[in-house]
Amino acid sequence: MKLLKSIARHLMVGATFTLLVIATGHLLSYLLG
Amino acid sequence: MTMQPTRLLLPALAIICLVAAANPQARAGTITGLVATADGQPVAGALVTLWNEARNRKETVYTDAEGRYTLATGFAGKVQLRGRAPMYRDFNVAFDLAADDTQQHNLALVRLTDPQEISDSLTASAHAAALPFPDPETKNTFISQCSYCHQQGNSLTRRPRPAAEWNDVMWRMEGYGAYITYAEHRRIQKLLGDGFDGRPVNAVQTAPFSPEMARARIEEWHAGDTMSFLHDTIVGHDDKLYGIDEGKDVIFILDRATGAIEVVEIPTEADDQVGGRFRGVRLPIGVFTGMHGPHSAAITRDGAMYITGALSGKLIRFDPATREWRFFKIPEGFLWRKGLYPHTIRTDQDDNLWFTVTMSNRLMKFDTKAEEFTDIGLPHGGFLRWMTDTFMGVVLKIIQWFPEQNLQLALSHHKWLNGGHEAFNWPYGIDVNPLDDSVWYAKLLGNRIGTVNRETLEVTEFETPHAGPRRMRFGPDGILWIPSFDEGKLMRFDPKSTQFETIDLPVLSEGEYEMPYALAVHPKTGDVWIAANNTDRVLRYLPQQKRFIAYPMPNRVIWFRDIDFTRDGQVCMSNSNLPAYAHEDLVPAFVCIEPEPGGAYGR
Repeated sequence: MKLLKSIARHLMVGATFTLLVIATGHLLSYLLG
Repeated sequence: MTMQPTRLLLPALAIICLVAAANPQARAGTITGLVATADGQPVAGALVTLWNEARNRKETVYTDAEGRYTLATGFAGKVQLRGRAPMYRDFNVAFDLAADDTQQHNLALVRLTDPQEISDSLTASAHAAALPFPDPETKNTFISQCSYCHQQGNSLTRRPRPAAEWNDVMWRMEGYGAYITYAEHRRIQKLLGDGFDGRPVNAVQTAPFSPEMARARIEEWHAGDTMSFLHDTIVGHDDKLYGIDEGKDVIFILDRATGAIEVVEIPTEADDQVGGRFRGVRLPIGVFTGMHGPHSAAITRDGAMYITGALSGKLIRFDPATREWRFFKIPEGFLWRKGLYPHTIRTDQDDNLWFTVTMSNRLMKFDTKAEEFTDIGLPHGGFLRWMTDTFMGVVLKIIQWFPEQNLQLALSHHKWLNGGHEAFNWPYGIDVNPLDDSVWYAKLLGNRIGTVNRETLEVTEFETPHAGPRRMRFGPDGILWIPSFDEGKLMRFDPKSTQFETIDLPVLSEGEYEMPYALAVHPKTGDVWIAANNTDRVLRYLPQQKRFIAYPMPNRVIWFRDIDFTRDGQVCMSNSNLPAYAHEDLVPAFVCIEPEPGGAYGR
């Protein structure tokens, strides 16, 4: 159970980070492209 | 167009109809006559088109250097004859025609003088050329990304719209696969809003006359409805035409001898869904309602037809003789990155199939005896393209959870890393060299051609001198002919010397550009046939003489994606603008050119 929770937490952090990168990319491309 | 003084003066605006005595020996009617201007000047190369009574078929011939024409027809009943030439008003005349009639109809064409009427008569190329492109880069992107499926500047696309509507159109087109950055979106939106303002375009288009035109004959058969999409048409072993509707998962089978069209539905399997692997994408509304997305087809020696299912990611086998269907699922691979949009397919000399997989940047071989796929990854060509090739499957998988929401535009790095269309390779056209059986492909957005070693599967690529290599084909002499869609060029590539040559395509007036899409080489003569999709013409290039013959098409707004040859000497294709209702006749059609009479052009 602990392992599953750890995996889920890492996945959520990874997904959040990826979305943050993508959102920043969109913003910069929109403003500076 | 060439005009010469004539000894025969026509009464102004008069039609002389002489109904000759019926020839009891004739099995079909014959219409002859002269096409001339109001002051009696003959019009060479004018299109004389006969509609059948049901108005779903046309037969067309061109006038000779003296303006004369002869049209032998199988039509009978209440028919309509039309004379058409650039810069002249169409002339229509309706009459009754018995099956064995011989009639004479002389047609007088009136020169257009009203600026709006002239503008409305021009091909899309004239309207597109008048757009106020801010810089060459925007023009290149516009041609490359905004003309995949239709002309820009025809009567449907040049309608003036407010900025907000253009913005909506642009986002819809981005959902359909126009890969542009935010900045390109803004520039093209302004370009369209400023350029398509409803004011007449002032251009004088000239169509050169070639004597060969007077020997040619064109037949058209309407197929489907305003929402049909006959992507490719191929000639079967039975010499019938098989038109593949990518949107509706049906095949239209035309028997040219009788004019009968049979519609065959492609069956589905339990795992098929509407939109296939692209169901997260909002596909063209009303047109794409199927599950397979049949795109291109090739025939093996047994007469079976193999069709690429672009949406379902399947290879579909159809036996026209037994009507048996079989389906072969292309392996999806790690990260679901394989089998995304199987595209053009050709048969090699061993009766195996080779096809490009456009959105996976891969090549596939299908062994028809072992029924096995061989997968060949193609070079990426940079970091952005590597990202596409690696993660396209993941993006499409994620957006499947949100059907038709176009979330790929939020996830794709062509937007958020500002890559635009340079983030894609798009292997597209493919062909087999008749001399050594080698397989060659073109990358539409990667601007390369390549070949694969059959033994080692090693790939070698060559950068093309011009952008947008689309549907290329080999000639019987092993020369590869490649259309440059983005730059309106014809490229000649010799695989032995690996040298390119460039041939400019003829345009109709200064400043215009051409968009060659389909290309095919006649297996006997070596003539190169090219769909000139921006100017409603089909070009025939004679390599020995290094000259073009341009055949203006009888249907305004053409969009030909593939060309095939019949055994009895016709050059056939299907008109497949997206959407079909942009065609002058509002529906798709099978179109066949018979360049030489009496089957002399048979393959």
